[in-house]
Amino acid sequence: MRRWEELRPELDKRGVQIVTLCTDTPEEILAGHPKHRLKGVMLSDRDLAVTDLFGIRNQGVHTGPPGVSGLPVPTTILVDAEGVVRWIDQSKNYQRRSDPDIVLAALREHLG
Amino acid sequence: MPPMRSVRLNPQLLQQPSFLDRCPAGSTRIWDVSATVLGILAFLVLAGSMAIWFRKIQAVQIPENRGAFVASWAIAGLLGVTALVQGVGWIGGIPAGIAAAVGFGFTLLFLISPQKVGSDAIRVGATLPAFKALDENGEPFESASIAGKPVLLKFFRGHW
Repeated sequence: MRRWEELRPELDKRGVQIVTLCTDTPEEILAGHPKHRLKGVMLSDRDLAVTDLFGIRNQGVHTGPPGVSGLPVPTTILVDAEGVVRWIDQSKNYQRRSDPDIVLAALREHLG
Repeated sequence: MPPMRSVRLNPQLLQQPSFLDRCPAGSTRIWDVSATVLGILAFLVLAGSMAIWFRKIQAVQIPENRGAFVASWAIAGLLGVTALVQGVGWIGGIPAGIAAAVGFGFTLLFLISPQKVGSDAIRVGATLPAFKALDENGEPFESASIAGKPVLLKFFRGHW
């Protein structure tokens, strides 16, 4: 995720907002914020309400932190200006994140 | 079909002491040395693989196919266990133990790590559902506030 800022000109050119969600509390997110160095909204989905709304709670073996009932499968979703989901990147491997080049290819293909 | 020839073992050969039996008691036998080498080798395989692995994680460049990494962890684990089973002094035993524990540990982690979502997961073509959550400052956020703009939504596993 910290590599997404490499895409800043491409994101700004298309007016793309970035919203991230994870099960961390707002305090934990804020503490980790300098590491991510990402310009965007970082939301706390502690109770996985949004994760479940999107249906992407991990159904495999749960290895989450204490105090959290589950974890999302790492997922990147590109939504266009009309609010339609245009692209979803989801990995079976949680160590693998959406590389900037994958995201850039999606931006070019779906947003022009 | 050619006639079967029976092989008769030379009884004298069978009675000869083996190489290992000929070593005086208490001396270092050749396979102790190789177990030490094996233990150190196991550790080196593991350390090399781990060094590349964590560098890739740092650079966010973990390949989709992790077969080579998993194979190297399993090999390190096997070498380590082999060294331990053969009986090895502490010089080889410590690296062998680390290689066995971490090598098999990471292999196990890989085996249980596949992620899957339910059948109700969001799909391409769907409309973004309205949602709300607290942002990093503890302020309420509603998805309506980003309507009309393209959005990259990223669900991730958090800091831990």
